[in-house]
Amino acid sequence: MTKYVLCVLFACTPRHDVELQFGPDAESLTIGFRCYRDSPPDELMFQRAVALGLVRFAVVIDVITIDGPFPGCRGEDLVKACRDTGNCKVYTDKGRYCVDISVPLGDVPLGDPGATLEWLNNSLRERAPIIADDPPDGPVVVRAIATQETCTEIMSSPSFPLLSIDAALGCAYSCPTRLDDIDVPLVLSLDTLTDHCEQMVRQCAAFPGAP
Amino acid sequence: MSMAIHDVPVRWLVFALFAGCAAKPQHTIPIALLVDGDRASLGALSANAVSGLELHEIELPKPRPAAPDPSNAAIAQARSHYATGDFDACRAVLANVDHVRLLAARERGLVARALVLDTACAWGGLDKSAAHASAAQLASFSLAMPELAVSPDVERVIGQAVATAGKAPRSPLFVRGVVGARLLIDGVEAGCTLPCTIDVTPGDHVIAVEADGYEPTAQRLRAPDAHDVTIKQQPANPDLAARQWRARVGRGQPSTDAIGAALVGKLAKQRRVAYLHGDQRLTGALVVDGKLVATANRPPHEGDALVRELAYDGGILHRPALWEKPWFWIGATAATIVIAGAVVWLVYEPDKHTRVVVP
Repeated sequence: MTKYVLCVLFACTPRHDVELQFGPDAESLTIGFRCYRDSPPDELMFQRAVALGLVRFAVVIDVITIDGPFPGCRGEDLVKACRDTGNCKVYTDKGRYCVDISVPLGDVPLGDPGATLEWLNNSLRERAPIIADDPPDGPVVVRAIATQETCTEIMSSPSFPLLSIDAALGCAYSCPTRLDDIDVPLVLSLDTLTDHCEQMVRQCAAFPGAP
Repeated sequence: MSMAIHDVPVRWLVFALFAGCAAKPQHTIPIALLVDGDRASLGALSANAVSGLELHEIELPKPRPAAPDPSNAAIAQARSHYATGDFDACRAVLANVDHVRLLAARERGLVARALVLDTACAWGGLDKSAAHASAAQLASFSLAMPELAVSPDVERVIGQAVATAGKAPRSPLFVRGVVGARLLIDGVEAGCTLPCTIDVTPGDHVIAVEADGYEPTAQRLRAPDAHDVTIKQQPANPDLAARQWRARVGRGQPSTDAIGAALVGKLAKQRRVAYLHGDQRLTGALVVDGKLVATANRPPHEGDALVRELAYDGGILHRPALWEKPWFWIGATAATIVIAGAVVWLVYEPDKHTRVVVP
């Protein structure tokens, strides 16, 4: 509050950082990043990122703007809001957040969700700690996708094409929010009741669909 | 339709603006200060201590020492002539004694001595009718017999006159004049104020009236020929007004009631007089044209504020409106800043620079 008062007096613009939280709490990794495949059902989707002793994938984090009334948090609410307004889109005015990660398999604690979360946070913080700088003030949804695509492939098109849903390894998103108004970590999760959630990840990666 | 300057709110606004910016009058209004009590408790009161006023302090005229009454000497001289048997000289000297003035001044003893001597000298000079006349006057004035050595014949004449006066029926005498004036009959308080009716014995009488603000007046009359008398009094001069005012205050009467204010107006010889009394608390009264127009009080050492307050209340100075006072604008500005700050505090939402970051 004090910094806002000082900014009133000196006409400055206060900085406001919103931290992402990839799970329901600070120690848990969202189920969206540890879904099992439909077939074979005992294989994590993330297993597809393992090749030749390396874990290689890209993390893409998008800010998706939503016009119109503030929608609810469930998938159905979001889909309806975007269908009604026809104007949900990935905010790309200042580029798109994409980080390639390639590390030896032994460095990734895939069997331990808490450790995986810490490792993921550290990896992103080392590479690019700022995900979005001064995004729109209106209702937005923040979505994080892990994909087999590389950032080079993703950024090759100036129009930032839709991600390949077949390459998706995990996905989570936030409830619609105004980033200026929140003072707590922004929770990313997947709207699912089971860890066999490959289809949910694919749908999450495909959101909001073609413009 | 064009904006009409005759619209009432606009007219008032224009008036207020011009009134607020109008130059104040440069001339000052003279006011006399009559200070009483503890002068030091008033604080500094220079001529221009109050903006818009020109103050000048006046002093009450000092009481003059009483001059020796020539009647005493005349009576002593007449007594000397009586003792040596020079009765004509005795009566000639006594003829200069003003009975009316002496009785108005309550000098009944002197008048009694003069009349007894006049009776004795007339009797000694064989002018018996004059002796009876003087004795009759003595009796009419109801004067007590003084301790004077006169012949038994004279004492008998006087005794007869007193007895005759005592038996005569009294008649009413109606006296008019300045309402409220005190009435004296033959040098004695009549116990009433004008207009007043008193019963008097037949014969000569001296009636005198006294009223604050007026010259005292007396006149001789004969009852019952005179039964309805009007006595006119001249307004008091400043010296007399000052003496009367001092005497009133000395008697414990209010210094600035209606009569006191009139006296203050006369003694100061000014249209506007501020009477200030210094004590544990300063009190003041403003007299304009002999009338009390304002009273006020203040803590000690605020004499200038007391005079200013009197001038405001008395209509001599225009009391500044609320918006003409500097502290009003200081307060209004402070309040505006506070309110504006509160509004900004409540409604302003600074444009935040939000970043989404990795925890």
